[in-house]
Amino acid sequence: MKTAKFLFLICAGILLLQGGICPLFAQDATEAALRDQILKAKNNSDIQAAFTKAKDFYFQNNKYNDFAVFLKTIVQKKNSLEVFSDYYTALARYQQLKFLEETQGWDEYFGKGNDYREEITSGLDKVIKAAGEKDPLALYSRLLSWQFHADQQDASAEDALSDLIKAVYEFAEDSKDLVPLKDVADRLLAYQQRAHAKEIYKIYIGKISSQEATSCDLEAMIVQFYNEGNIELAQTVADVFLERVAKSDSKEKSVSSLVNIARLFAFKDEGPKDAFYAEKIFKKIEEMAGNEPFDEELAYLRSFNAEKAKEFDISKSYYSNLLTRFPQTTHHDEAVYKIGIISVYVLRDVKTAKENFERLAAKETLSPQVISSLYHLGLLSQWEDDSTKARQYYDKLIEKAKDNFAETVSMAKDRLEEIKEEKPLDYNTRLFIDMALKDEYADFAMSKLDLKSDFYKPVKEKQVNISSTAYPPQSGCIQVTLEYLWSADLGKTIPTNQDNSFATSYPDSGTKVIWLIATTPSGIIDRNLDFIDVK
Amino acid sequence: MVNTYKDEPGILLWILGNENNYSCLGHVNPWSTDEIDKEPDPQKQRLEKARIYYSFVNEIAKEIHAADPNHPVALGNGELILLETAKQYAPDVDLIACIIYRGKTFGNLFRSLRATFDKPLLISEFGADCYDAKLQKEDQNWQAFFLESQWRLIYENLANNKEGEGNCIGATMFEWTDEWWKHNQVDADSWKVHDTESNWSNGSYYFDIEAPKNMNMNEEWFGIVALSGDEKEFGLDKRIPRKSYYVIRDFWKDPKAADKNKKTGKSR
Repeated sequence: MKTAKFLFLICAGILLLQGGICPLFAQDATEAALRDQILKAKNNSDIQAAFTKAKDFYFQNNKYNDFAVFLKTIVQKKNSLEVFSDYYTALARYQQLKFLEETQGWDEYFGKGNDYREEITSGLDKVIKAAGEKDPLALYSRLLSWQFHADQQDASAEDALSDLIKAVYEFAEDSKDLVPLKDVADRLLAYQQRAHAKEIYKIYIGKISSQEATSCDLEAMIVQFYNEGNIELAQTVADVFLERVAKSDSKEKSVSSLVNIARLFAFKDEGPKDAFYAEKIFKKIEEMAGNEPFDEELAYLRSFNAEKAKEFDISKSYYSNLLTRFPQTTHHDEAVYKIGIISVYVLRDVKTAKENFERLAAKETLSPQVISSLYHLGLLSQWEDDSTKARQYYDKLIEKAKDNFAETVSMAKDRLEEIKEEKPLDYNTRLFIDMALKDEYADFAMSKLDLKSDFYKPVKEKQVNISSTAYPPQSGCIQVTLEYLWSADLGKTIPTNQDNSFATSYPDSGTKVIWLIATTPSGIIDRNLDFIDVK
Repeated sequence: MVNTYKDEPGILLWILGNENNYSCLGHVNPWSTDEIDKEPDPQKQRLEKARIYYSFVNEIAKEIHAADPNHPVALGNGELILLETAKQYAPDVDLIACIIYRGKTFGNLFRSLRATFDKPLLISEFGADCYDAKLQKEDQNWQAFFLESQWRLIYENLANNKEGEGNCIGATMFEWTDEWWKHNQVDADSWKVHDTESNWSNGSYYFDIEAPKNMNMNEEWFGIVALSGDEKEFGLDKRIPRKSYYVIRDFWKDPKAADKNKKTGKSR
């Protein structure tokens, strides 16, 4: 009997250890170890590391209350650690409120929320007063305080932000520890506070560059931050680089670096880009060295970049410049064609457009743009009600194209059919040209309708997604029915009037032009156009 | 209808129309007359439509007053649009019932009404949905934030409150509970589904305006209580209070204290 009882107790003991008591012992042991580590830490850096370790342990299991209790026991044993305890208690309560929101634990959230908020605000105030603005913990407290108010969008958010920025400047004055500066800037950026983030990145980079960074280091940092996807930080370093370049004697090397930087930010289908920032660098290069650094490819890139920023008039002048300096450029036909399209359909300049289209149409060597120019010459003649001339252009197009350029040939055949049957020009196409050229539509500035593609240099047959966003007038909770009048080079898909976006592909290479008008039952919202260069 | 229901204790007032004024602008439910079609100036066309519409409203208001002198008659207007014309042609309405979806704030609504058609204001519809159409998930925080802010402004501008314009007599929030039938009203099967497709767009609810097509307003997600798809209570789908329910409850327990908390960072 005794043996049986003994065996029972052993079994029960094993079960308890496996099921419940053992984890408790394990947690107690870990807590004790963490406490010991904190209490024995000798300098601020070790203390900080030990607190971070403890925080990670409790946060990973969402044990915020346990962490708060743990922090109290630390202070009971070592009062000098109160400042750390206050900061981490505030951080725990901040995370706890987030966790309760996420899990919709509304009873605790509304029952104890204001107590937790009190712990956050009073705790952080105490840290800031006790530690002083030069201490990283005070800066992180300012940051947490601002985040707390910003999350609630309350009346103190603005002051907290202003206090944080002031604290950054004070901290940065003579601190050699730059990590907190970057942490603050990263957090501001995550909260879409781009201007302030850039301001602090500038201080951070200024400190780094004044300490030991060479121009080569800065260039490498630009690439590194760009590759990390932090385009704001990359631009901040580039700004510092620009300032340094302005004072440099080695102009040639500086310009070469600037060219690399401009290429990095210039528009491309893949990766981060900022066409406006790239243009800023291009301008700097031009200021420093004129046209010379702009070889054929760089001159093309600048034109293309401006085109993608939808700065069509500037883009047109860059394409013209490319043609003047490099008459034999491999981008010749594309540039001439785009000048033609921009001239007539954006800048309302029919004469220049026709000159450029005729220039291409007269070429012996065929290209997609030569064929498309004939199409637009025909189209403009048809719109001007000169059917004879229009027919001549379309016939010439079909004759020249032979069995190639099937998409453009098909459109030309559609137009010829209209002329033959004395039908009006396709409605969407005619309206787009009306809007481009008739005075009554002059107020539509392509500002209330965005149009874009996910790829601008796709290969043939690759799927591209073309999308638009219209900004319709106010209509309360009754949605205005929008119609989308698509025309020009739409590829294999013909979107309906209800589609604000569509996926398509192009079987032929060349420069494709997408036209779109958005309308409501009461009238037109706006129009826009875009280019896609199929390789 | 007035004669049938005028003595019901539940009748508070009569509201004429539900955003019908937008049809005068031609964006929704467009209508016209031969005379209007002959008018080349679009602005004059709109004003003529507004004259016809508000004159009609005024006729009905007079009829209702004659039939039921005990209840006020309100003009149900979308925003403040065309109220200058209403002032001229619908003088017999007693108050303005506006439908307003302006996100966090009502802007200059209360002051503007004083300047255009100075009648008491009932905000007959306002609110915020709790579905983030950009991230495609429920977000109770934004809804609670918008609703608290909206109620705070209504409170500030209530009659006899000297902090505001004092011309608001109250508001009815859209809405108590989610309505799962709204997205596709003709398909009975879809009434059992909590649809996440947006029905309209409003940039004032900025947090999810970058949703596809800018369609960010989810008509089936405006409730301050959600419906449980699985659990029943009292024979109905169980109501599950959202964050906004608690926020509004606490706000109306003591609006002045709630205002102070907002200023000191103790808000939700």
